[in-house]
Amino acid sequence: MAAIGPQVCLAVRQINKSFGDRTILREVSFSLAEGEILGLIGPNGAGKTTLFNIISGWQKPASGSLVFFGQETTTWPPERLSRAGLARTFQVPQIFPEMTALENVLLGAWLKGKPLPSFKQAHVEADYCLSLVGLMDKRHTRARDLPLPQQRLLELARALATGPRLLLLDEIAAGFSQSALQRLTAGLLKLRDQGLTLLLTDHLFILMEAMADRVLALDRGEIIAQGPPSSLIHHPEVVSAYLGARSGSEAEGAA
Amino acid sequence: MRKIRASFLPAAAGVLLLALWPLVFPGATQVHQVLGLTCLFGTLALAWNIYALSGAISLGHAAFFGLGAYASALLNHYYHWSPLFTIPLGALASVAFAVFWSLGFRRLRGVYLGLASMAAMEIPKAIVDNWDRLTYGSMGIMGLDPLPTLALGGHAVNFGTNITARYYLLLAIMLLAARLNLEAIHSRWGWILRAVRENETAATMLGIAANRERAKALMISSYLSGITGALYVHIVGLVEPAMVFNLHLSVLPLIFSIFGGHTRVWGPVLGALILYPLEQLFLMPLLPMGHSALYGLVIILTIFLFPTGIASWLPSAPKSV
Repeated sequence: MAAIGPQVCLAVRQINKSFGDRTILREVSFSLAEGEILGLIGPNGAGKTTLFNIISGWQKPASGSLVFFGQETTTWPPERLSRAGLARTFQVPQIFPEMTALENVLLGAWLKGKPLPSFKQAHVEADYCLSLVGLMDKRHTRARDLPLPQQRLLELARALATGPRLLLLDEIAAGFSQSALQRLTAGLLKLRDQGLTLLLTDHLFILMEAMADRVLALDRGEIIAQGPPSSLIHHPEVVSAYLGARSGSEAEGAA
Repeated sequence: MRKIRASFLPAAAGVLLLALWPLVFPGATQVHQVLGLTCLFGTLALAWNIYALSGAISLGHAAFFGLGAYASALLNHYYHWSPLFTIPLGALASVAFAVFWSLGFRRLRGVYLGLASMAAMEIPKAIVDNWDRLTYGSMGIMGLDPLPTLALGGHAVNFGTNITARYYLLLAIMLLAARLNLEAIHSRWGWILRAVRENETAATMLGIAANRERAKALMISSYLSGITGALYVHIVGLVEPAMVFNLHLSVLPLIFSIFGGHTRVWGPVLGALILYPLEQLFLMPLLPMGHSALYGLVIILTIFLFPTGIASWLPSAPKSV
């Protein structure tokens, strides 16, 4: 399974993307080692979600390439990337509204893997993923009846049920209580120890500090800084990109 | 997910009733004829429903009905092949059209797909209407062979003249279509279709190629629709463009399904079993001129009173796992 030393999970090479004459991403390059947790920060409009969409196959870059576990995936459609082990969540959670929470997650487990798992195996897996995100008591609730933060957790549980190798989380923690946030962080760190690679964006710098090994700061489509989370809080360019003319004191809490 | 549903018992009772009543009323051939056609249109509704289960509401299934009808009629007319072969072969013309449909409409959803599909029916219709040397244009083709006589268990059963036997044949085909629907609801593939129907983005994240699954559903749906069209023209013995490429036939499955409730397999069947005989046996004799107004009224009332279809009266199956 694991080679000597961590393998490269994802290599993003010189990605460019523009809509009309507006440049969204310019020469974005970075790589992610297997088991690494990489945070992506940047003000609104920095290109975080577009980058996520490109990595997960929902949008195509104008130039540049993506390599996922040694395979060139630049032109792959999202369902193929997903079958290859790339899972993601969306800012607006994408759930199956009429299914129960359990059915949502069960489908994730039931349709993935070679050979396909039995219904019973998928059920066990689904229960595990639901308990991991703390939704066991809501398993028979119809998904659309869950409040938004719980829909995000449900989407996360379903993503986990597909047994991903790389998980992209797009502002998963929006609207979470402190305790929910702590449980989420603990759960994700546990999964990382089992080999999951994570790429996440969030407005909450606390989440980055608690989890990320490394943070990339994106501004107007370019990587302006990278390093461990603690080093980025005081990085002058990051501070000015985020806060403009305002003082740096707020950067501690909100990123 | 795959347990025997609570609605199994009433469904079984219903099937038994449909199978036994001709024995109780052996002389009512007009009723046998109407109920036979009920099963035929019920099959069409079930065929339509397989596509609808993937989240696509078609308003163009008359295209498949008509192509199956014409292909079978032409094979029968020019080559004198038995309907036993021209019906299953003819329905392949419907599948061929479904391939173009899947490619051409792959980006369309919702109302746009509905409108495009409605317009799509005009293409085969215009071709058939104008290719006089092959299809005799709007004159249509008459004198088609009736359904064949088959030797079943030592008896020669003439499905062309024996209306009761034909009723049983059409009932069996409808039950087969219902079985296919059950498969398209409860199997792993059924859950894939449900995922696509409920949220295509989320389905894609489970590795589902939504367009491919929807196309698969359409292939099955179109073939079955073609079969019903082909059966129909051999029952009535003639085919005309306006008879088979008819908007009414496109809307019929939708009406049956809305009336009956489309995410349950018995919904379209129930819709067909109530609405078609209601129109043919009661409203038409009652009001020869204005029966369709009454028919419309029944449908509108249903939508108001039972927005999820009258199949919601059936005991609810444990929908969860």
